[in-house]
Amino acid sequence: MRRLLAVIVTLVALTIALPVAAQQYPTRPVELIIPFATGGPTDTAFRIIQPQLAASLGQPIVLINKAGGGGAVGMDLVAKAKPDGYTLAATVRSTVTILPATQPDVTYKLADFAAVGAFAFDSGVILVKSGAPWKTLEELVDHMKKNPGKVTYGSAGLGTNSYFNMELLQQAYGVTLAHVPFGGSGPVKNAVLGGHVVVGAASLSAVLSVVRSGDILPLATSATKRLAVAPNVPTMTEKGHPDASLSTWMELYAPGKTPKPIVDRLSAALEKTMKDPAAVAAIEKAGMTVEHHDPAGTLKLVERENEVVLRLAKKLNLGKQ
Amino acid sequence: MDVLHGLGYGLGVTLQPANLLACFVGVFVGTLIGVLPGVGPTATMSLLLPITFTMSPTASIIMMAGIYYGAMYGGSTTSVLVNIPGEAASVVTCIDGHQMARQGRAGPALGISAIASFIAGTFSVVCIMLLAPPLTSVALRFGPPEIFGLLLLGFTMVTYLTAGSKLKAVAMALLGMLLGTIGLDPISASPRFTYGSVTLGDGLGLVPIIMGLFGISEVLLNIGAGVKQDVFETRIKGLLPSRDDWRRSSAPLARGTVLGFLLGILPGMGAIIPTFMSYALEKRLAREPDRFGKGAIEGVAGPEAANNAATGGSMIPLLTLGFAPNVAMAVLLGAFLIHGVQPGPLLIKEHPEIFWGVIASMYVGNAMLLVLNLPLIGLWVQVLRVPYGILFPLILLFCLIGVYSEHGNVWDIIVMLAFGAIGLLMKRFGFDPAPLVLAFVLGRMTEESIRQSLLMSGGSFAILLTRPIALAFIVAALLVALLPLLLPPVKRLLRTVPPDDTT
Repeated sequence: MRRLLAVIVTLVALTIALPVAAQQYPTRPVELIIPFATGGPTDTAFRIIQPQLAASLGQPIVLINKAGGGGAVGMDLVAKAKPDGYTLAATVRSTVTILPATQPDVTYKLADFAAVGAFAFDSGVILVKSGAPWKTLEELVDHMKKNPGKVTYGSAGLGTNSYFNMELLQQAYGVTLAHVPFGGSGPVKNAVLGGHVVVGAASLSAVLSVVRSGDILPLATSATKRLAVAPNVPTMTEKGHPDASLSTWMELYAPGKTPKPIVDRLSAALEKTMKDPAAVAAIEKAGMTVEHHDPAGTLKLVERENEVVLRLAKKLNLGKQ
Repeated sequence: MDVLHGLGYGLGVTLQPANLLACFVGVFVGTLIGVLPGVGPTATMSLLLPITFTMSPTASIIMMAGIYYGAMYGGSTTSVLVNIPGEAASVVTCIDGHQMARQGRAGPALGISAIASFIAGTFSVVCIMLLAPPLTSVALRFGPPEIFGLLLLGFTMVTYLTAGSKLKAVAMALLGMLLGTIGLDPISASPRFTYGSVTLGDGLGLVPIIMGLFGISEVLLNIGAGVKQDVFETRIKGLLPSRDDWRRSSAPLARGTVLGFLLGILPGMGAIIPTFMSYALEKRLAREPDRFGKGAIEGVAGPEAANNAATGGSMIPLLTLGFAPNVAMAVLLGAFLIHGVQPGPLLIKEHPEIFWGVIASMYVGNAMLLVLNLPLIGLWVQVLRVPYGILFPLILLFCLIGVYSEHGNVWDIIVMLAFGAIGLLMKRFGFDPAPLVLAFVLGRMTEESIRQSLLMSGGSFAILLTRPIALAFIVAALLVALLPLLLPPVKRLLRTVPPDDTT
């Protein structure tokens, strides 16, 4: 009985102490787990904002790469971490949406995380080789309709945004394509340039150099509005298919039970960082677009995308063994 | 801007003190981590990436590239002296390099490594400069069917990688292929042999396997056998290869250079496969293939040239297409992107100082490396001359750090230790780990490329026969595989025919 009383007293004391602790947060360095190896686009984006984010928080930020399972190892670690705001996931949206939906071995789900914010995205892009007979998405779709199941498309791999975008496009236009998965946007670019596949789906940052040089023709992007780097390229939203618009969003997540004051403190720091012109310029130079969303806004976007992903995964029978 | 003008401009950029320092730091660190087993160039470049934030883009790329090609020089030192690959691309150098050292010829082995590295490295820079654009268009023609043909040819080389039993080599190759199937299927992304583990979804890592099979097992073997440090007891002298050494090595060196460079350009090859291919090729061409595995200098010169030429070759797709053909180049790509520079067809126009600066720095860097690795070889040898009682725990420590730093994943350490134990058993029972490693690398890529090819063709195998490059490789592979079987009966026939005529 006395022990039970002690537990209750401790719990009460903790709940009182918690807001106080949150006000002081952060009092020590904050660890950002990047669930990918160094050198990749996600890693690059977070390394760019690391100094400004640390300055806004008033504490050093430690970036830790925990690669494995296509991002699942690092995300699992954060899902199970102490929700005290000192262990966060610096990741891309697909690791909380597509990954759990397509991989039976991944046990965490979206609800295990608290969204802190989204700050930039690498747009998806549908591309053909320059000199191909199609200059617009409509012309290409026309060709697809005349040759059902014959037109090949290369994606960055099953379970990537590029694959989902193309599957959603096929549903939207009622066409069937032959899918050839490649291990990333770089190989997709090569396969399109070399004429090994007709259509490519990739992320813009990986193909920007050949888009600028005119070797590759982008037909549509997955951005919500036209991009400053490619103002002539229409968006899938413009074409009336906002669902087929998955982009690689750079997002920050805390473990699911992290107290709201801590999430808000982190969100404020992220918002302040994204107002720094130097950080914005550096991110846009790397081929990404800056667009900040607060926790509620981020969650809304992620949940909506998650519905699209889950529906498609079920339809394509992905994630079932 | 023509080439000479460009190179002159690039030299001007490289010789700026900050860039020259970056070049030196890069090749020095590269050599050091090359010498240290376990710690590889990819992990080092990743770890040093944040440091480049404060540097100019040109200096950072110069330094990063220096680490990469510098490591190829250093790696052979450890292979020769302690039979442990200093980094993954020096695995093959262990085979004959260490045997040379055992015969008291460590000097020429180290010497030919450094010279082969220098010649191949310089050759590949010249090629980048002159041939980058045309070679890129050739590399682009390598789609999945062509890659499949090339890999098939690679498989025919597997049995040449051992001095021992052919049957054991094939058994190890099959085991390597099986191990390569662990993880997510490259096409449908369904888990295979993962037993519900998310970590196994990525498959087994190449670096933990290599460090386990070659590094940890060698340490365990030496501790068990109570090996004396005989290699270091005699002074290493006579670094310069003899006239006979030169006669034997010059052709392998030239072939290794061209082979390494061409393979380096192709996606996914890295610096490891070219070394295996070069070794197998030399053994295949040799008049006395029996000498291989017993200290043949050709088996050092060829692969050492190949890995350095490959590092140069792999810069081509990065600089001209903005596409990283292997993991180390992906990190280098990251270094470009962090500074807001997009490598690709426009690099030479948008950032001539980076393009020409990096190329010129590679000439300078290779010259620095020759100095670091020939006259100063004693310095690196000192690192390894530490008594085994201290050196072995240190090697274990470096292997642990190196393997962990690649992904930050403890699982990789477990894999390495497990393969250390497996490697010990394999060595005890006369099974060579080299065929296993090559098949592990080739197996997964072969599966991916053949399945991609069939998806491209809608399921028709004709795609392999209607594309000339793919067909040529497949025919070559069949010839290489079947010739040893076909030749003896044909020869016998030919020999029996003339006597028949006379009667």
